[in-house]
Amino acid sequence: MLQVGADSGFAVLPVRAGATAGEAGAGRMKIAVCSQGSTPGAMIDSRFGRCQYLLVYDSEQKNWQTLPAPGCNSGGGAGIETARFLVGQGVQVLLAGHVGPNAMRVLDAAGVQVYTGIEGTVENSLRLYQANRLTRLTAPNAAPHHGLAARV
Amino acid sequence: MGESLTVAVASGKGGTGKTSLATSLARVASAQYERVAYLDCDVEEPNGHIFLPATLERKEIIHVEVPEIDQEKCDYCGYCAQICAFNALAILPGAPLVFANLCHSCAGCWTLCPQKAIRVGKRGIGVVETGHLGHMEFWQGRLDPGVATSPPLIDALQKRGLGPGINILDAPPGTSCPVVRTVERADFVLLVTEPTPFGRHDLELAAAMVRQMGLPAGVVINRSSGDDGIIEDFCRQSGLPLLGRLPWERRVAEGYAAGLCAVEVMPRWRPLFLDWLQRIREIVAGRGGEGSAGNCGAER
Repeated sequence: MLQVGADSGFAVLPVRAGATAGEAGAGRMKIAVCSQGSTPGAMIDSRFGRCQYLLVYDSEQKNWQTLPAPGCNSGGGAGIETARFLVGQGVQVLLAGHVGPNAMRVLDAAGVQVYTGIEGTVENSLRLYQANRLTRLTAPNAAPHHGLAARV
Repeated sequence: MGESLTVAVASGKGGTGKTSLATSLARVASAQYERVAYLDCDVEEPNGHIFLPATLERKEIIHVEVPEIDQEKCDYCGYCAQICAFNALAILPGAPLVFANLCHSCAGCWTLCPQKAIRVGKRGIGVVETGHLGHMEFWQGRLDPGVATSPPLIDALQKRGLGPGINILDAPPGTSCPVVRTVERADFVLLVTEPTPFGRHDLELAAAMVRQMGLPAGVVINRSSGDDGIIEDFCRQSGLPLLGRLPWERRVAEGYAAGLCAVEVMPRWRPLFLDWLQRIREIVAGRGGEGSAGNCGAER
């Protein structure tokens, strides 16, 4: 598993307009899952902005990458910070529990597809996505500062 | 009386009687002094108007500076987002996003943008309103719903409302930024507390704040039941003068519920308030040149 520092520079990302759900989309796809732990067997984190880790699955390499999420200790704007980071990592798909309005604006602008309904472990959530059992999120499903409340 | 005296009424804890005391102080002072201004600095929940039903005569919208990105010039380098301590910017290729509600108007982005692509825009955050109650000046700020940064509005309120004579500042509860911004222009901080463990705990926080800011302060115990040892001990230990106490009085609570401040219900308490004001004047005067050095130099 490759550890990538949280401060890796901003990469200019060509937005993949044609990316579609599941593995059907052509070419390489990076799928991020909000996680409480650093391994694919860890439980998901239902929060986005303040999740502990982002686990990124590479559909071409078929491997996982662990990224410590930058927003978990943020003073404010955690969702924006985490979304910005995710976009910089070249992720096209995000599997999350709750995403707030600010984060959604960033993800939308970057063309990142967001799916909600994840449960159990990170691996399990990826399987749900691959089986088309997650719901595409087009509007925020959490209020601002949701992640500051007790973990759902 | 040409000189001016600004007293902030604060307390670590909400519900101790700050507003009841501040409005009473303003009423009593306005019967005695030429110019008295009451400023409700609790801009998130201003309620001084309930006890001082002034006729509002003027209203002004207050703006803060926020970045506006010129897409013609922006090359999406992302430097502004990198240096923004509040995550108010997200620069995506072709889509520079500004989250104005997170911006603290620090000017970092528009000062340091390598492409000079950021203009200074304006965003309304609330209003400052003013009026009179008799000859007392009444001022209040009202923050717009959803705005997270109240200090600029408190700042604008004080810049307009502070004047010669007696200024009474009604502070928000707690000890965070809005309270610091409220008390930093005061000559004296009157800390209101109640004689309970909760009251003492939050008084300790408030006392630490004023000490750190170098502001002279004193304590008034509200709802005293006669046994105030828990607060008296703290005042002794910390060297804070105990200016006095208001006894627990059911009629005051009933009056409060009906929108009457303490001295309206208990006119015989008036001399107490005048006495505190006199002692505050003496304490502030006694500090003389020392007082000016105590203000942290936090000029804004």
